[in-house]
Amino acid sequence: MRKGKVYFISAAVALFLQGTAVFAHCDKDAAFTMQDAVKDSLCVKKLILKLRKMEQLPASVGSLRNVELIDLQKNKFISLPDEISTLTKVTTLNASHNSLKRLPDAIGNMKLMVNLQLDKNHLIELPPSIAQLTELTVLDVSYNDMASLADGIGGLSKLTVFNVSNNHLLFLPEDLSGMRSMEFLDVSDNKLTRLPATIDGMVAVKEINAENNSLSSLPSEIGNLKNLKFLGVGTNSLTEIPKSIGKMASLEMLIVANNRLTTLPSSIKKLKNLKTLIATNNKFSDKTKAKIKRWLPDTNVMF
Amino acid sequence: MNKFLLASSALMLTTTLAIAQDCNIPINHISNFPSVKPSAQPDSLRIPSTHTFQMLVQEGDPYSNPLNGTVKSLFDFTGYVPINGSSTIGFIDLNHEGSTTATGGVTVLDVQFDGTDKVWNVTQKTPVDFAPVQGTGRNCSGGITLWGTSVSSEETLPSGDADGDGYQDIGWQVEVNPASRSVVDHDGDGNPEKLFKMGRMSHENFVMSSDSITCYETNDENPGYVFKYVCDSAGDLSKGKLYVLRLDDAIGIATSGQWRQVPNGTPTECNNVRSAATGLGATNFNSLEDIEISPLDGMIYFVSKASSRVYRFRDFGTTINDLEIFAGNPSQNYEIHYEDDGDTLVAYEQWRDGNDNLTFDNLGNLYVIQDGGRNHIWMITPCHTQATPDVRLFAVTPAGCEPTGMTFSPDYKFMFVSMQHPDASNVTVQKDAAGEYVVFNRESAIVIAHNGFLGDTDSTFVEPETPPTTGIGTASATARLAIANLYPNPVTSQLNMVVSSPDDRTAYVKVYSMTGTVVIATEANLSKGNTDIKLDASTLAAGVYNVTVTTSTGNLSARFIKQ
Repeated sequence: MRKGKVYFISAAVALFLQGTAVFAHCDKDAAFTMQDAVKDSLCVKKLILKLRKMEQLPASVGSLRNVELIDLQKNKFISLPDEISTLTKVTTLNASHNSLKRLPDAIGNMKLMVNLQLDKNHLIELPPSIAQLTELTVLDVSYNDMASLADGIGGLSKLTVFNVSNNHLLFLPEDLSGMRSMEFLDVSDNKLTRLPATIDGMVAVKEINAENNSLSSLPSEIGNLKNLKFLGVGTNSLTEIPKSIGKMASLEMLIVANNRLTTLPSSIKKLKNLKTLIATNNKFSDKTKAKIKRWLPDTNVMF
Repeated sequence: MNKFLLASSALMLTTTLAIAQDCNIPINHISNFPSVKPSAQPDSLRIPSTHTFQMLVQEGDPYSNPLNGTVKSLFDFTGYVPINGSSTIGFIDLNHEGSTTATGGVTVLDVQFDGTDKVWNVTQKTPVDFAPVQGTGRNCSGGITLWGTSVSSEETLPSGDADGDGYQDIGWQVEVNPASRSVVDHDGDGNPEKLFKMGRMSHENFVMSSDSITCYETNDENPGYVFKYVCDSAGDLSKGKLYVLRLDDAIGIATSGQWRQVPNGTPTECNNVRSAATGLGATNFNSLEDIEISPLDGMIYFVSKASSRVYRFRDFGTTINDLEIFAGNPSQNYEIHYEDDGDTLVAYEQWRDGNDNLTFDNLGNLYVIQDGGRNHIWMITPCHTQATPDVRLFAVTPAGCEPTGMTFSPDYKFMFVSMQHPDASNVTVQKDAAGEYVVFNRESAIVIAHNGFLGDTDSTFVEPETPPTTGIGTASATARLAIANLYPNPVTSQLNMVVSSPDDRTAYVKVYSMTGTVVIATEANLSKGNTDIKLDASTLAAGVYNVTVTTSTGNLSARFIKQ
């Protein structure tokens, strides 16, 4: 049964959201139209507006104060109203495949946010308040236009998935030490010239993809990532791999293809779990290739 | 048999084939039709006058078990899976693209053809249970195996490993047994699993050659690669070797290439086949869509949406050859000979962007479904070359929709296809082959056949309000009696019904329980156009109900769920 009382939402909402298609859901997934929602806004738990060709979300959407899931993907939104930041019970916001250029400054007020999907937009930055989303576990901002990230993002201690691939990042925040729950980090297809030393704060990280950047080196601290199983740093400008890589005891797959490497550190032979090494299109001599293969007799090495 | 059963094995291509093509299509073959007039999308479906269609299921229709709720949205792959090779009884595995997270799914329709009335009956509608595999995301296109299962392709890559098995949760091919409505448990340990060895990527579809061993797949992203998967043993997709295509030169120059093996032994390797492919120098075709095998000569056809081209090549095992553009380039204009009041006229229709799904019939005619441009369903005969085109237009689709997911019955009399996300504002009512009045204003899966094989023998059985030769986005007011919408469904309190009527008239509305008891009876005055009727369902017990609308000229019915 629906709960709550009638709550006023301006005519603008009804205008934008009218129609007979299902938009809003209350308990038990019973669905009804937005006309019903505007009459009973406090019952709305899910707001599903994907694929509506909408260009603007009315400010009065902020009246849906009990909404927990908002799905706005595949519309034409350029921005979201500031009032969406007042929806403090939202745990999932999916605004993928829009034309968002900015987010509300106060998005950090959505304290219960767990999953924030903003991929395939035109965001040029994330507001600093994003650092206040302390419950966030998944943040996908891939395929945007960001050149930098707010510093505070490195303190998101519950973040397990961070995908910022396919942006224009020149650097990452210096302090990533707070990202102790990170498991999957994807910073590929940016313009990064270096990775911060504090990346070793990601003690739980299993996979790092930093391919197709402009990295000329890797921090030695990367060797402290004892749980890392996949490291992809192909298609960069690397001239050397730090010796500390030999400490990455869990590493199973290493891709260093399309760089400027002439050798690999001998410590790599300590990587007993390394199953695959793809090192094509570098500057290894035949002698070096043979040496590396001798170091890694149980690894599938591809030059 | 299905479309893939007739596909020649790529491994059979040890000699260069040069088959003289016969493009005289038999008169009753599904691919024998006069093209429809090219246009922008009207708000109804326009197919050749030689063909008719029947609506099978629409978004929001209730599942057979009320506890399962209603059929999800975003219809994609519409795969007919025959039972024992039958063309009259089988399953339709209907993909739901969902979103970037685990909100996809597959609906299984149990379908049976009634040879007397010549209509398809949907006897069961059931969602597949993906809970044991952490759900599925963006079930895009897919394919049919030769052993009565389907493969659903997850076209999204959200990271995460909720069950801690080392494999990320989403971004895989998933084999579905429609009979059990479940994911196939390959190792028999009681826990089904996705097809990890085929690699994690933004999967578009899957095609299997007739050897039950060799499969092809693509990834719909940039970079977009062509993969080949060779099963260790016939009939088991869970174990095999993965290869990626590397051309010998740049696209546009190379006609040959090599298959390079992609490591897929460990979960980490399976998770990262795209990175490995890049490292191995795979050729990036950018945003690949469907890949299929020609039944005529075994050539492999695939689509790049970014370039809006259909490519083809021959597979020689470790190498490929004869790579060429078969059709497309967005600016390409094709001469369409279409029918207009019995006359054959000519129009030049631009290919435009967005070529997407591919399906071959048994004669090698290639259907190309478009997600972009004007969202057409094209057909290209095997006689076609870029120099001497033979391109035909099978369908102009309803406004707002992307046609998706075409498959055929084994006898190639029936085509199964969906209309994804048509505009909710579409209002034109069409009478389908089962005599139902339908509106393409929500996700719809349909079957299409020659007039003689489906429904009434009247070849003009499909009656779009907008005449086929003139309807260019001219949504007319409804002139047919129809239930245009019924919502919410499931309902908890007020049920809203929109009835379209050609004129003012009185209607008698009754709601029946599944035991046939009338639980609501009321009268409504219909106005010309749409009339909203509100029914109080708040006192009904939970369950499935039928609502009927009776007027002086016809009866309508629909089902809904009370929660």
